[in-house]
Amino acid sequence: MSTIIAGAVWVLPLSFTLLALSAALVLVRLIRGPRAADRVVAIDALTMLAIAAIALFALATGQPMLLDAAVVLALMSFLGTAAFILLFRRRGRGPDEVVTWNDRKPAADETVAAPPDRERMR
Amino acid sequence: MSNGLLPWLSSVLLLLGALIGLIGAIGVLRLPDSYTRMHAASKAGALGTALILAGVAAASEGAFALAALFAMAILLATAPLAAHAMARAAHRAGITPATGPLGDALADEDGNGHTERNPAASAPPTAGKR
Repeated sequence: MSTIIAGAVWVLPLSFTLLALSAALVLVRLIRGPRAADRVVAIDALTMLAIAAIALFALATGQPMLLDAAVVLALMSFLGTAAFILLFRRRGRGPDEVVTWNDRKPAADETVAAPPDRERMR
Repeated sequence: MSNGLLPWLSSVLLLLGALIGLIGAIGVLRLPDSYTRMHAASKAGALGTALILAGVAAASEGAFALAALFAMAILLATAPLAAHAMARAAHRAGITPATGPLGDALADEDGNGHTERNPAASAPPTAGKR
């Protein structure tokens, strides 16, 4: 097993540093994000950064088994995003009351009754 | 092998991937509304991670490289799916995009009603949030 890259002394630490900086920026968005969708986006971006970091770590330590963890994390990222998307659906308590998960304030002139196609999607 | 082109290619791919990932993270932090943040995260983020995985594949041999390419294929297959589904679901949940002069084409197409423009593009509505 040979893993050869040019300038490994500085390329790998620099890449790790850039990834850590990116994770810090995305974390700010995850904490601050005003809507639920912003937080889901931030979680998605964080898992992608984690996949990249695991791949770099596998290269730095020369252990190919870590890449299996990267594959599984890629799959779990998709499943996790899909699970969060299910929480976006409108949940109606009654015929005249529709509650959204991310408590949007409906506009004054906006009708809050869900159209029938949304009812069928449930 | 050690004097070939692959070590340099691998270094360039790793650094380029990390840089594009950083650009995507800056976009996630600074872009004005949820949909543009999705755009930054799902395009720049996925491209950066895919480039890093390609760099790992170029630096290694055999099963190691194959595993990296497999992870890259899975990532490139699932990241656009997730972003597309997330954007549709967010639009259905009533998150209005900060529209430009062309308006909200998806709202016109669905007839869901959220056609009002969002004039404060840099300040999403935060009045009723937790």
